[in-house]
Amino acid sequence: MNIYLLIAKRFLFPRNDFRSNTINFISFIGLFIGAASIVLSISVLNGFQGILQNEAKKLYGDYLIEDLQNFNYKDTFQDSNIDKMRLSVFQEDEFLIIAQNKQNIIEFKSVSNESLNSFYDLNLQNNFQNLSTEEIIIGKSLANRLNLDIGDRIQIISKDFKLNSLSLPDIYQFKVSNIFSNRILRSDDFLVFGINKEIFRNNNISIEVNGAISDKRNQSLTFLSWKDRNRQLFEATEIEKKITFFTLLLIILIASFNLCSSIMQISSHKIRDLAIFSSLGMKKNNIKKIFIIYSYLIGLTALCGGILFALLVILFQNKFSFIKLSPEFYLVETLPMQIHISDVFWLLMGSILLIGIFTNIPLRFINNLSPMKIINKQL
Amino acid sequence: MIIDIKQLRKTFIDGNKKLHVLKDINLQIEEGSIVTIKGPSGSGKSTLLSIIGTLDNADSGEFSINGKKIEDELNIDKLRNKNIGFVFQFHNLIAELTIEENVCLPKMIAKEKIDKNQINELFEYFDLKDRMKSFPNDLSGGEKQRVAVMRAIINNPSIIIADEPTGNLDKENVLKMISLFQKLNTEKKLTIIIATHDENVFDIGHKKYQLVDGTLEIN
Repeated sequence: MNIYLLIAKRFLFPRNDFRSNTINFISFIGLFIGAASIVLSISVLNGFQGILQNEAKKLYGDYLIEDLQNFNYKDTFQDSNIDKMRLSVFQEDEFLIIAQNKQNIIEFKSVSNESLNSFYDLNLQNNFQNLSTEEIIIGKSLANRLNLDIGDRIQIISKDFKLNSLSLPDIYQFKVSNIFSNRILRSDDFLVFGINKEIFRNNNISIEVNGAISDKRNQSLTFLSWKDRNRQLFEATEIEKKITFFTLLLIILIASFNLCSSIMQISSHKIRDLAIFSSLGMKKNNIKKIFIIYSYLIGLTALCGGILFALLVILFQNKFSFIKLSPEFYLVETLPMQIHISDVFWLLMGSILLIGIFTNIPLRFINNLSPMKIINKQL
Repeated sequence: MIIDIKQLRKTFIDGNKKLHVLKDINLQIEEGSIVTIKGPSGSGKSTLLSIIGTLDNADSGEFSINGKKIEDELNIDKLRNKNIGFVFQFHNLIAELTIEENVCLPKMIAKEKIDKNQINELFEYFDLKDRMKSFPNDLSGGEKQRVAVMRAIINNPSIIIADEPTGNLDKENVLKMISLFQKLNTEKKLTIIIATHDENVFDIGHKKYQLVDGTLEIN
């Protein structure tokens, strides 16, 4: 066994030294709790972010290619290297909806019946039936606000009140064919699906894409991902994750302080042994190495233990759903937990850095270690 | 000449006072000899041994081991590990390591392969074969000091420096240590430098010195 590892291990578990063992145990527990808290908190944030993303994808697909004019998408997509792709070609604009003397601004999304049936996942109130050009599907919140139900009739007017040849605004009559519900991004407040394309004044079409987009995708098209389309929301969740990470990293910081004091204590307690090592020809850097190994033995064991514990909690939660939530408030029935390798990687890197810094601080005295003075003092 | 010291001086500063511990020390030690040094407490014996053992530096003077000037030596730790073995008054064994690990420390520091047969022979030679896996606190004072001697010679150094090696031993163990040093000197041709208060130990020196008022006088 490596001599430095051997000595570090023996110093770590000194015989009959309750004080050292207690300090080491406290450092261990601090790092263990810190690592477990970070993994658990980040996993919950990841879980909610994942739900947000999945629900958004049901209405908006994986990618958007927007505002294409005179675009032959069929030829373009046949030529491009897009894998296992499903498309929804649509037009979209803002309108005013009027129903039962109430009005609301809506986003009218005109798609095909095929897309409504297979591309989007609308969580419809009734089974899906193909729409006619005079039928629409509205969101549940909008229906509640306008007191609408399936079969009711509404009017839709161009939002900017562009006038026809009779100087009257174009008014279109529609029948509510179905009601969808999706509370993510408050989409069922304003989104209305239909297949009518005559109500749009311009011919701009957009395409939503579901599937894996390879790196060799058509360079002439700009694909906007879910993250690009909801940048503010996504960034808010990312910032939340980062703040949580750094806040909880403070636990690791405090535990590192404790580790620092543990190193100070053990190194001053073992000063005679260090002088002996030096007299036997051990370099000062190698003496430091003993304590660095000592510190990382506690640190890495606690970190790995904490991470492992948190991973087990995540595994059990995903398998047995033992933490329940109220779906009315949280959209889901169980606490979502999801952890990425990158999160664990950054946790380990951050912690290793902190432990390294706080181990080196108390070891600076070893540079001035004088074995002769220490050994002779006891004579 | 294994050790050659010329005009060696060492001064300590205690507040405003300058303490001249070693004044123009000249010392030549032949390979394979036993040199004993005695002197009152605080006379500078330990300081002189620390300088010879490369644990401390002199303020001025020349000092060479095996013809190599110490001031020109770049890797002083390696030189110490390979050429010098220490025996202190207090055994200075590492309490957390077994006796075997304590003895093998210099070899492990040098990253040398440990020859199990050599270790077994050494433990037999020192009559400690059955204590290999024990810890220092389980041993008697005499046994601990024998372990310290084993640790000092494990790397086959050319010089053994012993600072009051019997200072903490009873009479019986003092005699054992004396015969052990003589045996090591005769059989392994080791150069041994001993600082001592004990007249019996002092008498084993081929050359005997007295350190008085910072100067070395032949006895």
